Amino acid sequence: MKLARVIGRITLSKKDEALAGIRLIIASPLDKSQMTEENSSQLSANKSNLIVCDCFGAAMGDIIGYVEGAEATAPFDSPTPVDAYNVGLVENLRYISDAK
Amino acid sequence: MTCAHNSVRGSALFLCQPIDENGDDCGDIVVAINPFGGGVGSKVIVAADGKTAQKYVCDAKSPLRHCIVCILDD
Repeated sequence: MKLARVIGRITLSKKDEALAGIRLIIASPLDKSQMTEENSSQLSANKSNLIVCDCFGAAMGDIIGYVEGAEATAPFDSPTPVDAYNVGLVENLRYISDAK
Repeated sequence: MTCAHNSVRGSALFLCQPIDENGDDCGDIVVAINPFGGGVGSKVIVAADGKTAQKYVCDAKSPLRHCIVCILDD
């Protein structure tokens, strides 16, 4: 699981029926610099944004935990064309950068 | 996590920074479940296949991927 910030939503007009009722959000993966202090720049410099399948109502600016790959399709009963799945909404995040 | 998949609720989630052989950071920070309760700053081995994590949370439909499997002494 990795962390990302929700920066948008996507609505599809025509889609695969396996995606019926599934909400899609745009998320920007968090860098280390964004985990330490409340960085105002919501977009990370070197990471590309991704489309995440959301079943928990993530709002704009929320920090979510997402997984990619085969684990992203694990919660579904039938095969679903999903690349990333929102595991949950992060309530509090404590990152200790000098924990060596 | 407040609102999350059932298999995640109640699990301790730890931020883990992958390191190379010299101990320098390499790669993205990952969030792993920690069945062993290691402290912050300890070196751990993280399994990145979903099957291990699914076994620990006893849920074959769990989307969890990273799981701490052992804590290194030194």
